[in-house]
Amino acid sequence: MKDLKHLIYFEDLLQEANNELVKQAAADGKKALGYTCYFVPEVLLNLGGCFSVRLRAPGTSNTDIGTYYMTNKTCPFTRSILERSMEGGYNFLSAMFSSETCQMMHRAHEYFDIMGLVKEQNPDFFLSMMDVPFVTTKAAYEHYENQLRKHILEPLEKVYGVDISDKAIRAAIGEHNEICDIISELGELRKLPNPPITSYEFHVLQLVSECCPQYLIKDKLLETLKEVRKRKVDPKPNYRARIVVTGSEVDDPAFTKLLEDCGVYVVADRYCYGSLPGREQIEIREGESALTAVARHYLSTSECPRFMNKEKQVQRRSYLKQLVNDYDADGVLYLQMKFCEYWSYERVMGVHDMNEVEGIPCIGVEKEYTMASAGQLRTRFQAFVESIEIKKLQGGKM
Amino acid sequence: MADERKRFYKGSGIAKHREWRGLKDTFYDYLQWVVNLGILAQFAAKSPVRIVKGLFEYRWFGGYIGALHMTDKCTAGLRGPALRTAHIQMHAIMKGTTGMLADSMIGDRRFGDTDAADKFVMLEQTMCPEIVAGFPNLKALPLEVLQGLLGTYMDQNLAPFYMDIMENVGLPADSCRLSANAAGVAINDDYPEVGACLITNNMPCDSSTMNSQLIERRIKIPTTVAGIPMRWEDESTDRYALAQMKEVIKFIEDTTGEKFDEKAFFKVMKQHNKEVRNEFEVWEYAKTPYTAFGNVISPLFHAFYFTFSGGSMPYIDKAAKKALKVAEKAYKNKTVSFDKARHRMITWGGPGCYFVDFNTWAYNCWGVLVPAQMDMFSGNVIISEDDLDDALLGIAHNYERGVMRRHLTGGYQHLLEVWDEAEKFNCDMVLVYDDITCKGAMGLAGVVNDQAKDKNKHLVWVQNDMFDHRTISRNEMRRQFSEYMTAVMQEEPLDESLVDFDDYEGW
Repeated sequence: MKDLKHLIYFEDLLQEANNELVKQAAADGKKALGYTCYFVPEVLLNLGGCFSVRLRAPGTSNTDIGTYYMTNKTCPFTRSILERSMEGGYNFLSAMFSSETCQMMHRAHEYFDIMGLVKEQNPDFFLSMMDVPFVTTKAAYEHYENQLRKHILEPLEKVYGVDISDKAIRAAIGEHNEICDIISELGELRKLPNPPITSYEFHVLQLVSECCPQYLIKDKLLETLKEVRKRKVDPKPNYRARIVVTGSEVDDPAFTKLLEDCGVYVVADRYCYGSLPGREQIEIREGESALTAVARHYLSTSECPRFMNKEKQVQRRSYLKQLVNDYDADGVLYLQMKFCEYWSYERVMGVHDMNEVEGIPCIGVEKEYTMASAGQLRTRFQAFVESIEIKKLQGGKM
Repeated sequence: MADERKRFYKGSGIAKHREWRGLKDTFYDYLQWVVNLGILAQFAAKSPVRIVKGLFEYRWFGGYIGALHMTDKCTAGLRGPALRTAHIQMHAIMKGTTGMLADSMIGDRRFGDTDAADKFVMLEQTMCPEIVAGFPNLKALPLEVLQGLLGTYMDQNLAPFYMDIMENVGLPADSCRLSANAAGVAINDDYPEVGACLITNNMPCDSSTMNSQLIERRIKIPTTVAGIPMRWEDESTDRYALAQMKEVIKFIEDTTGEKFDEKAFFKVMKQHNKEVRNEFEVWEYAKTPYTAFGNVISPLFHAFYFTFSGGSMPYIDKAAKKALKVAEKAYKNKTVSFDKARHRMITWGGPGCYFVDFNTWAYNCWGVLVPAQMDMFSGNVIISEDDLDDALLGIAHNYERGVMRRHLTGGYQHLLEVWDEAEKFNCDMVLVYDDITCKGAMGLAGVVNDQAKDKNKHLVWVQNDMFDHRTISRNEMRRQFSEYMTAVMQEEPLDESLVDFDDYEGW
């Protein structure tokens, strides 16, 4: 296929957190609001006068400072975020929003407070940490909504005078949904047997939509969508297996590239920083406040393994199964960031369920944040693709 | 110089004879040993057939054979009032533990259908039993702790089998060992089939949130989740915490057919508060040079009643008051119970549970007295004795501040309370356990180091693998501490024979 017109531009935007568009938005007088976890609703960070930046640590080569503070026995992603924040890589932020949803992530974010990071550049900078429920009962939804109000909206209003009215939230939802429409339509194309977009390209676009001011990136995303709609595909698809990828944080498109090099087409990105969930429309129901809609949306769509209630546990498996069916996938890849407690157990249970209960070929893989162990991963992925091919040759028998 | 290791068979923790503590203390110690035997006999008499069946059915049960040995190693070197408070507290621990073990077997459906099975509400992890207090016809029984933590105190070889099971199914070895052990017991179907229902929970951390889900899949009784807030100092979480407590109570009512009894509930809360107030008194003595509380058993007693009693075991209050009486007398007479102490050290973080007597060893080998350790500060919430909502919220607060949770969640400041506590307990040394799988604590390791430097404190790190002695053995833990004592503290050991010895094969 012909290269996408803006692909290199998008790739460049992913080279650093404080990219060209972030700088432009800051120059426009807008407040950059950082976050990493899905439980911090992106939409609320895009209220008038603000823009969201989902933090990454691209180009991490070592995490010496992060390792000193968090030891080498903690999640490499969070250590990389800490390293970058200590280096001053997030000094452009006006505020950081976090939640105590994952021990290591919230620890890394706490260093903004402990070390007084960013404060020197921006004395108004603040870190806000909220509580997120482990279940999805009625009380849990109410609790989550209260937390969003208290730990996101109210501080924004108090410190930066942001309009947090229902009308403002509705406007933000409207703009958010436009981005979601674009990404979702691009994502839906992956269901085709010969998709007009590669999984690498999709990963880049999804990340760009999370890491750049949405009002500045929307036009180019829309243009890319139009380009993809008309894109002429190769006569034959060049993948050997269609895989649903699920798991913890993946914010490096090079990882998807590695999978593609092994003959994998990532049909569905059900991992942190992925689009499933993340790019579904937020629906405001009749009589419901905009904030209630946001709380309901994020709590109900989240597929995080920290949800303990049975319904959510079952839903996580059935959602994956549904993705396999909808996207005509050949198998599932469970990814776990090294040292991630949530995904280590989820991977163990999920791989068992997929292989033994659902009969869906599945492997579980532990990975580092950087691509340092790409060689070992390549061997695993190639073997998995071959096993799927053998299964196909044998008419469904492994 | 003493030569304590001579008393033991090489390579093990088995003593050739009991410790000589002088005529009076040796006789007292021997009598208490007989009392412990009596407690064990009472235990066996509760349901001999089922208990024997349990010993053959459950691998973990075998670890409890080391109970008397554990008592001996935890009381090693104690004299006078310190020996007396330790035994008083230990008797209560043994009575409670054997009672719960017996209940587990009596209600175990594996050994035949029994009405007794439905009289228990199973509580997972370190969830304490206050929430069951309003059901006088029901009893709370712990799931996980009996099969892991307590057993590992007695036998370091109990957990590795179960942790290996989890590694065989793909769980990384860097995952929390406490949770891995509990999940391994579930995979191996080694939990007694007892109880009308099970309350799982997110106590205390990420791994326990996840192992609960795995365990729930293997348990055949109705389950529900108590999802306790993490940001527990934030008052805006209270409403939700209270709602969770009410949902749990409704679940118990629905699954057992029992009705919540307010009168019975408040009676237990009163008892709970007595236990907490006793603890506060213990601290006041522990802060002084004339303390009769120190080393390992006092913190163990706290962890025990927090996790298992919560006001439901009347003998806990009795034992605490009896020990306090001994302590009061020692204080009035200015009796120095720990006369070998050259330093006072607070211990923090997740200890190596297979080396439960680390504090005792540090005292006997290096003259380092541990008057306080992190777990003592967990729980300790005074609960309302007349307002139901306030009381239920108090229970939630007690959970939120539970063992390990108190210091690892709700904000970094909680783990860093170590310096204030060290000051209060007049400690000149701080030991932080580097539990190599505890991510919540490790996430602040650098800050702890920085603060030690800023505050000019003696800080020693001792690595352990919580339940897995094969990774970092007891002797390796001793080596790390001894190195610090000679290199930094410039001390000579009180007993050279205790510095480096092999007990790898021991319980």
